[in-house]
Amino acid sequence: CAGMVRKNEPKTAEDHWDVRSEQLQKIDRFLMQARGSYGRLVPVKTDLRWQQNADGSFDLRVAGPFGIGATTITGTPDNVQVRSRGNTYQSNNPEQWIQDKMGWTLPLAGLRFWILGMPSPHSDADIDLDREGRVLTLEQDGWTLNYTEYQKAGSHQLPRKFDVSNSDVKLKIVVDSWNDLP
Amino acid sequence: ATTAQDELKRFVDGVQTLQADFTQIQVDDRGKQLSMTSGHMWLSRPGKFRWSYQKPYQQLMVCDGKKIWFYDNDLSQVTVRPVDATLRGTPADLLSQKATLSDGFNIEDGGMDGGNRLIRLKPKSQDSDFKAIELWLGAGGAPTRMKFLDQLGGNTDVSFSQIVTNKKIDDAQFRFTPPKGVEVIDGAAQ
Repeated sequence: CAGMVRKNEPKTAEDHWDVRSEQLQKIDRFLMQARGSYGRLVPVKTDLRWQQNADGSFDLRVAGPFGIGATTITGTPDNVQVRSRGNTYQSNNPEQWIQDKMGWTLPLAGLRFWILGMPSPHSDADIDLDREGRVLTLEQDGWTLNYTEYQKAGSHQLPRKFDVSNSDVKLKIVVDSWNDLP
Repeated sequence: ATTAQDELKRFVDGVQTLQADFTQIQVDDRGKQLSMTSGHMWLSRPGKFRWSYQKPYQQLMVCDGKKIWFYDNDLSQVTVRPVDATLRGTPADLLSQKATLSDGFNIEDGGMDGGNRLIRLKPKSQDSDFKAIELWLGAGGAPTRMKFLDQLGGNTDVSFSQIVTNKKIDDAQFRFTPPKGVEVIDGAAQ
């Protein structure tokens, strides 16, 4: 049964990526705890906590040193409740709400996938892979992602250091821990 | 018995320099622990402090009274800003102030608590980052614990140990030179 014998031609990055992206797509829930900085716009270290739930909803908490400016964004990409400074807001366009409030925005819908080191399935993306089939750079929805370090997380290899940028925002992220993975 | 203001005054006047180990625990409004970090801090009145997180990651805040530097080793980035609103009301800013804090806060006496005097500081301004700040002052007026109640109902609880007061601290502790090759972002130049 020749079919059984695969000549040991070297596995290409794409082969690795095919296997890897299938596994990544199965990650429907996680808890990412990270530190980030928004460079010039909010030049203060920010704690980033993203709890993704299996039903597609998420709880995102952003806070500066000692809990300064603690803000939570909870809900689904098209309907969120934002709590900040003791007030609560409802919005069906969170990215626009953040833009109006902060003058910059976070591509929440894309980030949900990008932080795992994969493109969002909702639009086209250009990706460059490393030899092991992990994403090095990714361009999607007008944003550019550079992944500089990965780490072991359960049975997965997930990002540890990456940055997200467009023409006026650069968000640098270091992921301290991945938990609650399936 | 001394009033809260007296205790606070004893702290502001009596403690000119302070250094201690600290452990910081952050919880959300449901009491779920968000993070636990620890490190060492130095403070010298007026307005100088060094807040060095060592575990689980390395991060540094240094203030010389005019500028504040934030350095995160992993992000390999330094941001520097003038001393202004950024850290108003944080432990660093609070502890190093000359004034008795009564201009920015309403001061409430929380009475004695485990040998320490509890003082509750309620920010006067509406858009403060904190609902309240609790300060436990030990013998000689040195702080043993500080708790920041954030606007979402969570809090950041900092407890101090190995507290040393009024020992000379080399001024170099309150200066910061960005390491070579690290991105420096000047927040003031916005």
